[in-house]
Amino acid sequence: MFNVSAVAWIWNYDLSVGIVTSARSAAVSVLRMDMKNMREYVGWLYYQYLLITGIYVLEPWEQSIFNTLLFTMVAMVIYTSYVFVPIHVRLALEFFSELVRGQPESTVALMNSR
Amino acid sequence: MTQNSASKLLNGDTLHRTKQDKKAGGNGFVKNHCLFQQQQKRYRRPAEKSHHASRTLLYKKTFVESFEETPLLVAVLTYMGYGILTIFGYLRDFLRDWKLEKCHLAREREEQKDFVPLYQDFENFYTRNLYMRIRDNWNRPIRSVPGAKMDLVERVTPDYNWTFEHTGKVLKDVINMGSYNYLGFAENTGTCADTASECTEKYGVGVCSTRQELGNIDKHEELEKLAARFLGVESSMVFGMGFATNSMNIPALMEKGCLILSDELNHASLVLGARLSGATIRVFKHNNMQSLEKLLRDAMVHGQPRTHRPWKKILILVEGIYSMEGSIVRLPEIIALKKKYKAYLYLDEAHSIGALGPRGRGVVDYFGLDPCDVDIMMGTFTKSFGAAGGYIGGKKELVDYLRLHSHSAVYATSMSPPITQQIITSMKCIMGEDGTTLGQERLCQLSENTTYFRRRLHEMGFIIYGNNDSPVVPLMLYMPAKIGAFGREMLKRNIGTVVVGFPATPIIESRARFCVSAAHTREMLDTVIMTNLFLSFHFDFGVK
Repeated sequence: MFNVSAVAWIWNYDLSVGIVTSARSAAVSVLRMDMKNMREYVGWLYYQYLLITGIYVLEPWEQSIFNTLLFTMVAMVIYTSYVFVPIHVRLALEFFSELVRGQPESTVALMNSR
Repeated sequence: MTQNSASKLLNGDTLHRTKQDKKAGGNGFVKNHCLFQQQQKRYRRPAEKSHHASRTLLYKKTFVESFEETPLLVAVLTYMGYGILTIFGYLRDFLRDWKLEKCHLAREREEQKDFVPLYQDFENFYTRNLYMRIRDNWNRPIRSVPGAKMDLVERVTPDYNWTFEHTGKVLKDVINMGSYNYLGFAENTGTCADTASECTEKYGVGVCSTRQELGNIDKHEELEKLAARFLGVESSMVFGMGFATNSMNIPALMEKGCLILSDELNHASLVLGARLSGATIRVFKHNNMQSLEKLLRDAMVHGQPRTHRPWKKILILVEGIYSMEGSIVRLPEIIALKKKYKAYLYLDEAHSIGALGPRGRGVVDYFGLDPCDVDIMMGTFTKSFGAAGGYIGGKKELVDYLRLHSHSAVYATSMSPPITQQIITSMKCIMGEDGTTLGQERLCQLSENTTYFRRRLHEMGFIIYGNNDSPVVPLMLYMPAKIGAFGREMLKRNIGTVVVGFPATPIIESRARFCVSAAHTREMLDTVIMTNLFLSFHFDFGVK
């Protein structure tokens, strides 16, 4: 079973030479493995997060503190974007559309006066 | 034993060619191609400064060394990881300081609080807060001989690595990828062990004296003559400890008013010896010949710092194989520079003796050079010979001087008899003088294993440092959490590896170091490679 997955990996590796971003490489490595279900995949993602941020070496209560802080900050970012981004986008669109509408009117006026 | 370079080149030629016939790919890479290149260069650029062209003429086979740069994303994430761990380190220090948490460290007593501090707290910040958390990867107790497979004692820690308890269980047959057992002489059966036990019965184990007093045994003299023959030098001297060989003999040779040019990544014993000598030390970039030449020229032109007098002696300190990088020294170029600028060369072959070269005589043999060109050849018996101790080889006048003036000869206990016998037996085995071809087989096996291991790991896309022919294989890990996780996952799968981080390496370049041995079989190497592959899904070692 393991040899089969290794051969499949080598075949996939030949296909995936040149992959640069970590997200894409993560997706490819998931395809290479026997990820039976969503739960295992989420567990693998959490393990990657622990390793990359360095939280893996900390004691469980320190990990909880860090996770809480990170989760709070991410929640605040999402809330702020949910409240404010539509308003900002609408205002920006209005500003730019007014600019565009104002321009053809002035050029038309110039041509008529000539 | 000293042949001239021409006949040595011929010997090197034939050996390379036969090896090339036996195996496909990799080692003994196209010697004909190298010659062709040399001829082309000679015809195309006759009037060139000859610096670059002559450098390629010095090498008889291609010198392939790679130190891939850290990918930018990996470097950023590594710094981020260290930053987060530092913040948590400060938090724990705060808790320890305010007694909210039990402190396991050494502390001064209450009455001494107003005195000058005994324990410099901040210097140990890294040890307290980062090293302690992953400390279970080091100092693992071994229960058997550290051969290709070994037995480890299982430990558990109730308080996160501050204390350990032995469960009583033994992890059997752990594949040993960390011992410097290059030729597989770390064994408790066979001729080496038998002769060593006979020697113990005759001489005992303790010497109880220094070399200059009553500690000079006839076995030492026999070993010194044998080592001189092995290396191709006039005479040699052996010492009881490899570290002490460097740190006690460089001060005997150098003094104030001399100049030492030492490589950036030299071992602590060389650095300590250089500092103890009192000479001026200048450091050149690792294996970088332009940097070394610049320093030599500056030394010639400017002389000593304030008086501008010429330097009494100039010594170039290099190692054969650098154990943290796996790189091999550029010996032909260094010898050319040494002859041009009339400097002396001290070559520390701790890892390369017995492990490199077609006849196992070290890095001089690997490049096919003349041992007389290297003024002081130093090495240790710890790695390839399965014993302990060090030697220094060179001209007879040099070694006679060291017998009188070395601190180690005067004050340190000499080598123990069974160890001396082990070295004599293993050296004779490597030279082929014990009547078997075991030595030559082991040398070939080591070089095959090295090439195979490096090639497979490189094909899979791991970042490996160092020369293609060196048996020390560093695999880059980079992030602090991966150091601990890699060591533990490998042990769970019954492979014992050495992981290294700061301060032995630069802060972001932490690595796992594999030491390939002649005792490893193809199956063992395949197991390790497959485990690496499997773990790469979890670790992402910067795989391309």
